[in-house]
Amino acid sequence: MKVEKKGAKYNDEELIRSFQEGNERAFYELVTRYKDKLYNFVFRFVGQEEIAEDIVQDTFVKLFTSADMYREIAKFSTWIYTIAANLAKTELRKRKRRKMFSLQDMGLDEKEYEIPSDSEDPGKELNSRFSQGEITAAMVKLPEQFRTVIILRDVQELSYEEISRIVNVPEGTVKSRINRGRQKLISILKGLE
Amino acid sequence: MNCYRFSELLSDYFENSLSIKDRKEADSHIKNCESCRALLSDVKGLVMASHDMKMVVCPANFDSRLKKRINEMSKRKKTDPSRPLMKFLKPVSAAAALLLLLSAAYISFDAYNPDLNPASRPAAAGTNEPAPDPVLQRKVLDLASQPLNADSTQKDDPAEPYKNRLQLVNEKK
Repeated sequence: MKVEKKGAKYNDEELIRSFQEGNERAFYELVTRYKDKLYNFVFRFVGQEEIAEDIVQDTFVKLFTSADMYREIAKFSTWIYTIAANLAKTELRKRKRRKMFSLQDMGLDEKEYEIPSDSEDPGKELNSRFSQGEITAAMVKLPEQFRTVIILRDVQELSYEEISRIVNVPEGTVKSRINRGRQKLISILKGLE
Repeated sequence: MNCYRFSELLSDYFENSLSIKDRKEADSHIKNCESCRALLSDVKGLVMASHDMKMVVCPANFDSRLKKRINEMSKRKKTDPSRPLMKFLKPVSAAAALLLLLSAAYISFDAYNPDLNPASRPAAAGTNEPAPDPVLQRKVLDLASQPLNADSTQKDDPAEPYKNRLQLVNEKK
């Protein structure tokens, strides 16, 4: 099966259906479409490139082994973002537990986050007084429930409806978390927290 | 509208999704409140900067690493000797467990309530009705074979304690 039909691409739902029927090319087409989006999301969430790459790899491995579980009740993008978000949260919890038992001092040298290696000048101010590097670092400090929705809305630019399905809370709660999360992010950036 | 209320509506105000009434009140509030004006400006700047953030992309060897991992996983599955057996084993063992549970339930029900299940006793010879319960039969025969004497009657008579009371009551009268 080709992954492009006459003049148009197969949509995600058609591709996953094709993969469910045994077409591995369809799987790799989905990898191509989603790997950077997911990597961008996960990296902003965990703050480390290597860990972000592992999580995104795990997401696709899970897709490969559990594709049969996908049903067209939700969009494919919702499903795969949910898998990635859950894996990222699990990784965060593991790290928290490790920190509790770590004898190492969490000094200033211990980086909790990285500036993306292929970014533009991280000190460059974008459309505001806050630089990309500062915003990335501040996002990692946000509580998990705010961090997820802020990244999905302001970085990944997903709709409230889709975010609501990914994090499995009502839309009203998503909006409220985004509102509070943005204000908290500003407090962190201003050094107030 | 106060500052607390404005902060609750801030994102909706910024995204232009407030009702007309709330929008008017918010507009009026920020005209007169410098700190809320500053907060709105910060949120606008933050959101625009977030939108403009350069997308970080996967490392160059991402695809080859993933393919390698999936191929190794597929090879392991194919060479696993128990794989075809496992496919068959799961539903069979589930069915067997269910059958065992039902049998155990039936046996224990029958053991505790034999009288309720006359079908469990074979029919008496020459009739279609189930044979009388042998345990019950034995009890009846034992009772019948016991001699009637005053002592045993007194011992076995469940009315005995009350008979004495009746006697006392009659004497009082």
